[in-house]
Amino acid sequence: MAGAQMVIQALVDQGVDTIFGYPGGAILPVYDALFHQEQVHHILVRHEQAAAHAAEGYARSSGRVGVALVTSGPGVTNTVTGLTDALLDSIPIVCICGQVATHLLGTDAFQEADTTGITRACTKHNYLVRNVDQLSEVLHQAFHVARSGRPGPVLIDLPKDVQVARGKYLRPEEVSHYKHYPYSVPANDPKIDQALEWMAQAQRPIFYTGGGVINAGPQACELLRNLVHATGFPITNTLMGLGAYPASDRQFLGMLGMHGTYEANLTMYHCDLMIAVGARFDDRVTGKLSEFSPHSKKIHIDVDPSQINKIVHVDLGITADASCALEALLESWKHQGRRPSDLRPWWSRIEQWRSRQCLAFKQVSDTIKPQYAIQRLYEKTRHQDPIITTEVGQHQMWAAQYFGFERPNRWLTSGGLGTMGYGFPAAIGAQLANPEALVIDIAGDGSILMNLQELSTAVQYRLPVKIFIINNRWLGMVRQWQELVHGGRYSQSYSEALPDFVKLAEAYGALGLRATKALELDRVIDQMVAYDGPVVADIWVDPNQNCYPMIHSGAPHYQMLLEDESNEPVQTTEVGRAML
Amino acid sequence: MIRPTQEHLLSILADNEVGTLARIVGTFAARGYNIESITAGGLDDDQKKPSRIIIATEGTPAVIEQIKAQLTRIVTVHSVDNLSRHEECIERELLLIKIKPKCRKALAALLERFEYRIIEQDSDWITYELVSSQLTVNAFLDATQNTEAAEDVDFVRTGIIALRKH
Repeated sequence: MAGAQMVIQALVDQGVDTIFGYPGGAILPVYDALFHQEQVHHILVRHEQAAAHAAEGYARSSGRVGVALVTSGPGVTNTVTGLTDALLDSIPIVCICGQVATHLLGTDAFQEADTTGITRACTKHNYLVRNVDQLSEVLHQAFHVARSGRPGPVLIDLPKDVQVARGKYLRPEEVSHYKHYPYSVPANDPKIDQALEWMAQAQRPIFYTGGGVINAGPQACELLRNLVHATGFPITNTLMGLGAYPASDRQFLGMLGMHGTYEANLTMYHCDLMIAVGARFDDRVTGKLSEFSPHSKKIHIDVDPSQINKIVHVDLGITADASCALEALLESWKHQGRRPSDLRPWWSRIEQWRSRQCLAFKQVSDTIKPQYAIQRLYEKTRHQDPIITTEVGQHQMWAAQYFGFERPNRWLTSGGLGTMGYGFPAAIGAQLANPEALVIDIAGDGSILMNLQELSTAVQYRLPVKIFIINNRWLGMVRQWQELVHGGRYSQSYSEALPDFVKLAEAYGALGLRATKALELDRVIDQMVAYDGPVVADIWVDPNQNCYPMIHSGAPHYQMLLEDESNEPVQTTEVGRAML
Repeated sequence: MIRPTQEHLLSILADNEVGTLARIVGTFAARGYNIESITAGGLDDDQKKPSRIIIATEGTPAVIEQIKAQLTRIVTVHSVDNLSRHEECIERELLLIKIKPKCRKALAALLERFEYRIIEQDSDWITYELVSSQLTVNAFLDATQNTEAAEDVDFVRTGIIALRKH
């Protein structure tokens, strides 16, 4: 079998039905092999970065491995942002890229790049395949590495002559040498006992859970829900963890961190026991480290041992898959007949914080408040269980705050890397993995321009993806920081010469809609959802809104700026600015 | 010139593959850890067996634990063993040092204190080989720096190799 055919066969054997790619000289033999078959469906993107993000969107919304196929040199360097994004958010994708023939390697040949060198720092693992006899083993290993342990991106650099050469194909079950991640924890592990002991004693406990629970699969989310209900503890989610626990549940305090809720952050600050599951104490979550939850015992469950004690010293670290650890905790909690201590005083404090209603806003005039736009989108689409992707900035935080997620794999956002341009291609990937779903990219006027060319892809494949632009004519989050931290010096953050998004949509063959007044909003949302095809909805919102609550400049959790307080520009030192 | 005594020796067992060493070194560079010395070698000729890499580094216990954990994440790394306590392991370093014959006298007293071997000698240079613990190699180099012959001396050292005693 030729190397190129092995690539296709391995995709089939790994259960891949859809890949995202862009052809070019060094990957042509694989594209030729694609031409001769119908098992793997190829989606032609318009820029390789979008192929990587689409693969991420496919993976995150389906729990399967996403695949990108690109050519050498500029083809693969364009995927670097997507690979880095997948690395930081632990998303399983495999990127297969062409490379110049082996005899040309290292000669600065046409479209040659040191791909394994460039991507070493932004992949979980990468391979340069110099011999066709290694190819099938590498392909299967790549999928194994991408999805096992802590998931992540894997790249296979494939020289053109290896694609043409013939060799023996091995099926996945014929391949050995898989690195195993034995991260399970038995229910009778002493650490589980210790955790339960602390949980039963805690007066002021909280669960703080992240994307690791979602990566561990729907059963992990169900176990989490059962454990939280069994214990009666409050729970907060990270940006990456939204959807792991139903947003409508009373025990859910909302997202925590820089733009988290008042109640979530204060509960974290005042707790005496924190149970972190699949979260990694990101600086956007912790704020000022020396004042991060200073009075609590901390339990940290993570599949990646390097995350335990990396940022915050914890009292008990359990290296395990979230699903496995939650099951052990839940079973033993029930089996041992554990009971929580009286949590009523704790809950009454939490309810006080909650009654502060930190996300309240008033939609008073004609001008659409961005919060209102997202709230209406949520209320009008929630019964359809939509998949929401976002770009990065204010609109992303508002989406996290005002859109409630009841299920995992419904919220796809670039959390770790914060990649503007992520949301639209991710939505394309999610739509292909979930053809029946309503998929909406909540975007900003700045971010959407970063991968707008993919409208062409959406139109070509008749993907009914909706782009909901929170258009405030600013790079809003940049403007907000410039207002609050840099003395109102709005350096390069005004979106001058924005295109007419409605006409732009029409130019691509999509439907363009616009709402400029609050009264038009519902109608535009209805039209957008009803239309069977890609839509760009341009929602003109109040340009001066800031995203609150906000924890400032490496400040602790108890120092939050809130919407209805007068937020004078804060006197920030150079050191403080650097910490943002 | 004087190198501080290394606090920790990490013995890494990793697949003998292209890129493995780069990933290990890249982890140190990207996360701001220091490599005091590094030695690497395959354990067989045909690259089937893993290679052993010994890295000398410094850091607080928490940093060393983090380095260990970060290295263990690398797909081609099998294990990372911290040989930090010197009594638990045997360590050696090889020093090659060449001097101008005219300096021989100045270094004579010094050389007497160490076990060495002359491995090359002609009218221009005399080359010595010294195999010992790193502390001894450091002491020897420090001593040569203090002689008048410093410019007439050239040397190279391998970095530490180490093996757990039991």
